[in-house]
Amino acid sequence: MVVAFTSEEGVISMEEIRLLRFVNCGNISFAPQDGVIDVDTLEDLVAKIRSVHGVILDGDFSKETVLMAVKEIRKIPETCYLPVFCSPSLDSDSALFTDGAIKSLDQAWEKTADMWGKLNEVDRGSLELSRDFRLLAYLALRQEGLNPLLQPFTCDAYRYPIAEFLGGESETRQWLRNLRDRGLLSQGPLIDRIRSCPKCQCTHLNYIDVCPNCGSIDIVPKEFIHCFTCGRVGPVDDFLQENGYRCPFCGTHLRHLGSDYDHPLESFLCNDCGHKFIEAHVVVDCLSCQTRSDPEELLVNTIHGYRISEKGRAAARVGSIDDVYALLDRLNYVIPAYFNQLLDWMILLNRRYPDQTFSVVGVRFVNLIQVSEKLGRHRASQIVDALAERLRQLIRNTDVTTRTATGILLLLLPMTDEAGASVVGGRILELVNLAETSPKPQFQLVAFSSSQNMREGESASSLLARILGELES
Amino acid sequence: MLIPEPFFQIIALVLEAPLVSETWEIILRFIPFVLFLEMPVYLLILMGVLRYGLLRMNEVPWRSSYYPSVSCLITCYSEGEAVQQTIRSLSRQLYPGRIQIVPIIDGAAANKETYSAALSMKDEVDRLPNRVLKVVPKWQRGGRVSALNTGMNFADGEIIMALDGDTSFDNDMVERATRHFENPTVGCVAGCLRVRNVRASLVTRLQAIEYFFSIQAAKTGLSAFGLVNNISGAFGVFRRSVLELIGGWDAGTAEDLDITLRVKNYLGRYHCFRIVFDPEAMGFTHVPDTFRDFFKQRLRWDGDLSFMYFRKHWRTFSPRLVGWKNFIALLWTGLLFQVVMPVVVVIYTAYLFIAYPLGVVAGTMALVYLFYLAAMVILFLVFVLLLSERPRQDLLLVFWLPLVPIFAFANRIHGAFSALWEIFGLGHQDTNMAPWWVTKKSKF
Repeated sequence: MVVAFTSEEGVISMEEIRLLRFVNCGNISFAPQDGVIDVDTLEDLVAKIRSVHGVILDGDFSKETVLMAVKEIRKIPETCYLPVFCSPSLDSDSALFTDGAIKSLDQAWEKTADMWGKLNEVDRGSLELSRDFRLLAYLALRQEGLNPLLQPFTCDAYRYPIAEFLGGESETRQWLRNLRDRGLLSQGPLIDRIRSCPKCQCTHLNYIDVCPNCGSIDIVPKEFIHCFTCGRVGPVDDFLQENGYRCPFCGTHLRHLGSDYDHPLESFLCNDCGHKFIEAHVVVDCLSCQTRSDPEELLVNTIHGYRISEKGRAAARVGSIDDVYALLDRLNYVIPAYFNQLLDWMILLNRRYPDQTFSVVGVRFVNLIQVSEKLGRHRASQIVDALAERLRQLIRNTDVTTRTATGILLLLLPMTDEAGASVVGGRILELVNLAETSPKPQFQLVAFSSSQNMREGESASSLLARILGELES
Repeated sequence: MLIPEPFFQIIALVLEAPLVSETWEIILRFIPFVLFLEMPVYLLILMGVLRYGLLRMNEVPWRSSYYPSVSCLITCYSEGEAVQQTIRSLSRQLYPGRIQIVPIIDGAAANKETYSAALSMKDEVDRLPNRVLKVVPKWQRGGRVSALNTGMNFADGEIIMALDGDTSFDNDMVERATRHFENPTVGCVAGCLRVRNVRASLVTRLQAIEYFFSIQAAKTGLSAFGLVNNISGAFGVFRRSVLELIGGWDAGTAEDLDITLRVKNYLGRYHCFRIVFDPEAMGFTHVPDTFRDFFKQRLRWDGDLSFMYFRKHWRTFSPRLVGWKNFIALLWTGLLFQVVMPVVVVIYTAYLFIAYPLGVVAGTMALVYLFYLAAMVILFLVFVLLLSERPRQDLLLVFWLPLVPIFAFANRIHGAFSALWEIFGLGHQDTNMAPWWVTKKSKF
């Protein structure tokens, strides 16, 4: 079976996939195979990791070794998203840090191929830029989200080890929350609710009942006795004599529970200050910083899993954490500054050689916000994605596009006169009809041609200001 | 004249009777009967109580630190929430040792209320140090014996108590009952019972007096001579090794008397172990509060008694098995006193009515009544002073004493009929202590 797929590097066939196997001497589950490079030290692994498409940890490595190997792979931007499989002999705790156990090398091959098949979902140029892109790329290539792992001997109790490998260990939880707030991650299932010290955020807390008067922990429960004969109520100790209970007030020998006396309540006595009380006060001592707090002062943290959102996927695809317009940037895109420069050059050229015509078309998605609200961000970005794909077929290799901060698409069409521009404009407007959604996306279009609308002393910035002014009015 | 003539004739006859020579003739015939049958027993008990009273005065209030672990088997049937009081009174014992409380709910499938009442005590008991509650639901009803033998499978204490679900205990009961076992020759301890619902009605008050005489006083007296006649089913305490020796409880009714007699069967062979009664190891039990229920209960008890003596345990009446002392006591207090006497009294009374005129009979009865009342008041006061741990409460009952001889007489007559019913009617199989399909299979 030859599965071929495209990536930005071109077509890679199944045979071209190379796997790196980290073996534990004498304890391997799979026989050596062509296309699988074996290494047995961490240094070799790091040295060769950039030249392979996937990694297999074969053997019953210690958890520490697994953590170190996975960490090394994830922290290098170029390899952070690589699939890392393990052999079934690895214990299940350690396997949580990998992409799971495989039954055979062929299976690893298929899974790696699957993952690389999705690689056009990821803009690999952006991986260097920030840890945000590395995490989004990692998640975009996988079904599973990011799940917290219980690590009881840490102060946080729950950690996100993969996120820590990808982004460094600082403030991981805040980082993930920030990505969620920006819409790049969505919240997964609620795993736990955990309270932490308001001072040091440690979750290792000791709930302790103390005297409400002096705060001493030296309190003892004291049972009370109610003497039926005289009606007095007092602590058991006052009644206890060497031959049983005797009421200190009326002298009655209390023999039978229920007919001579009963236990009306249980209270506490503080051995330090002698205070008697019914309900002890509960305080919380932090085992890490020894701060004492009231239970209501504790910080309540909800522990969630995280999933990549559609916006996150889009961001991973374009390498820019922006909105859906970013999808349009695949159309011979140049950055706005360069577009301006190019336009200036065209204006100057046209002045000198008036037959060197050019046109500028501005396109605005009039109702994108409404479409997005109505159909959801995911659907909206799919629509924009489809439009971008068709626009790409419309424009020529020599056309240049850019996008303004407000999401207006500008096309610079060299050697195109007014008629040509209106043909292009007409085709763009027709695109709308191809979309089968309701509400349909609406375009507003302004075309400028050097042959007609050129003013005296026109510059790129004044020209664009006119176009944008018309579109946004 | 509204009052009929014969009424005055009867009054006149009664008033004249003590002075008529025929009355004295009857009385003189009656005296040897009383002297030789009843008085020795009363004297024996009185001496025993005196002995106990003297020893008690010198007793050290708190004993050495021997606190064996105790398992309390509580046989429950349809007591409902009353079982909670039993469990509570056991869990709150002033006893530093371990107490395992094992309520066995017989027929728990049908008696859901009792079962859930027992279960609901779990938290309250487990909170207390050294107290464990283990509720055993016995889904199929099988009677007291099967409940106790079931409970033995779960009991882990060195001392086993067989208790009733409607009996609650003084807070020093376990302490008092277990102290005897420090002496290795003590095999069983019979606990004392009082009436819990004493103020409920006339019949409960009369039973309170009866319990005081026949349990607290009589057993104290008998115990002083090593002659305890019965370990109450509602409150028996056993050394585990003794229960294992005799193989637990045996099928049939009156399992308390049965186990007492079976323990006694070993006395002749193992001279070293004893049954002790402690009048201060106190349980409070619920008694019938109407005459109807009372006589129904006694029909069963008295019937069980003759069933035990005549059918199941006739071989026990042998000096070789129980020793001479116990043989005589069994013959006397068991057979003569409890089975033969009622029958004799009935025949004697019937003879009086047939052979003598009504006035003479009435006069005789009045004198006999006065004799018993006088004896009873004296004994009651002596026992209260020497024995009672609640003298004030007991002295209040003195006002009801005049009714007791009549009550006892009625009881005797009823007992005679019960004995006959058992002998001719197999009354012991007609019991509510075990379902009929169980008693039917019993060997006796």
